[in-house]
Amino acid sequence: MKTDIVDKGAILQQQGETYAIAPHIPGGFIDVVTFRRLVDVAEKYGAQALKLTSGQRIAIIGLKEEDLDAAWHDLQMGIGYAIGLCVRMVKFCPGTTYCRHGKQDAMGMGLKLDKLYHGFQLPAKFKIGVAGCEYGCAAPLVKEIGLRGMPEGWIVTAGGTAGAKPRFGDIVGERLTDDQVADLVERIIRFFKGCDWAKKTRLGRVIDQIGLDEFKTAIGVA
Amino acid sequence: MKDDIPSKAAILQRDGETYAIMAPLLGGVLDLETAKRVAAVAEQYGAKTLKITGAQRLGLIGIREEHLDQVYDALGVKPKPGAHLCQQYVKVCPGNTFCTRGQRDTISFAKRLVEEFHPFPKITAKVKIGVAGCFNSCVEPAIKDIGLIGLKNGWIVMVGGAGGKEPMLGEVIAKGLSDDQIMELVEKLLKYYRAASGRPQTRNLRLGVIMQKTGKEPLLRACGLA
Repeated sequence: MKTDIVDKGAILQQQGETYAIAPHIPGGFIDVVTFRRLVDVAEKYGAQALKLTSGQRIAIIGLKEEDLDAAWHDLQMGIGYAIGLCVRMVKFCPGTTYCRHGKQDAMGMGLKLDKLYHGFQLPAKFKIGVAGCEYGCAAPLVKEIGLRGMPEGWIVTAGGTAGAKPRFGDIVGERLTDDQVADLVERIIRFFKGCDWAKKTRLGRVIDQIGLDEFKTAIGVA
Repeated sequence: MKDDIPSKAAILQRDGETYAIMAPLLGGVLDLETAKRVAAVAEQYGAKTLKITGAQRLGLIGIREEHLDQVYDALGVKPKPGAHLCQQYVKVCPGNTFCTRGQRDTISFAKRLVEEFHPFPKITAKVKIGVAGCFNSCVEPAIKDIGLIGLKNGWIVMVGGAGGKEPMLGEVIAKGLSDDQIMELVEKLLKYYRAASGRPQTRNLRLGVIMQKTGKEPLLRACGLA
């Protein structure tokens, strides 16, 4: 019986035979040369299709197990941690780099957080969303850590999730500068890293269990 | 002074000069032929970058205005007015076509929804539909105007969610529905949303805000659920 192969970033598909891989594409920004290479790899190894995911990745679907190493080798891209108990992704919008609505540099902040935390092991699935304006197209409110860029600085929320029991993140910081955000994100992640008891319990449920005030005290914003 | 070009579904970028357009995809599935065409177009017309968006679209960023028509031609599609400016979409997970967790065929079902209803005319606010094939909800149905969660024993329907300026979690209004029952219900929901869009007091409002203003009973009655 086959299963996911975490260290190859390979996700077993429905028929129990083939795999999908999701290369790391920070924030969904992929240059034309890399995109061409990805398409060539998909063709070379007979992929069924490409799927653009909610995590702003491109999954190459329908690869054979024996082709996984060669496909990764040809791609020259890192693994996107689409599975496992870790920081799955940092999802971000075009921010002030491209979008007219952008109020903060969501791309810069997203890339920075991606570099620091993507794939970082934690007690449960963990998602980060960075939106450069209040429209929130990276859906920050339903991420474990969500940033919204406002004209006067960042709003930080913690504990969001969009699944069967959806929960919006609680506001833990407002009007923050880039440096203050980086510091607060580090404290939230360090706090959650320490929650050994939380095994697969997502941050929002942890906050519900211990109470928002205690959580705020633990991350130093009370 | 340039602006978005709705008829070409072209979004003006921050440089005030170039545009982003979206490759024609249904629910984020990109077959290899389309992928090759997108790559060729992006190379030929010097796209600055490609961007996979939160809505599972593939944006070509940095296209010059004079190239827009040629780019659409080369992609083999016509711009879809009404689908412009990220106002409307159906977002879908891989479902049981691909994913081991998928309990329903979300991709085919989303295709049916798109063919039947999209674009959604005369609705003056955003219309976002999310079709998830299991409880994990990777398309975030809870923050969509209409969110569906597919389980073995039928669909769960959430309505009134939104993620932006006025964030709201959708409310479950029905469970255990079949594909056909969903088609009927979505049609009623869209008709209700469209009618509300035509009334001054609810014009331009998202479905969830309308429900807050008027209570959810009118919507439930319009859907035959109350």
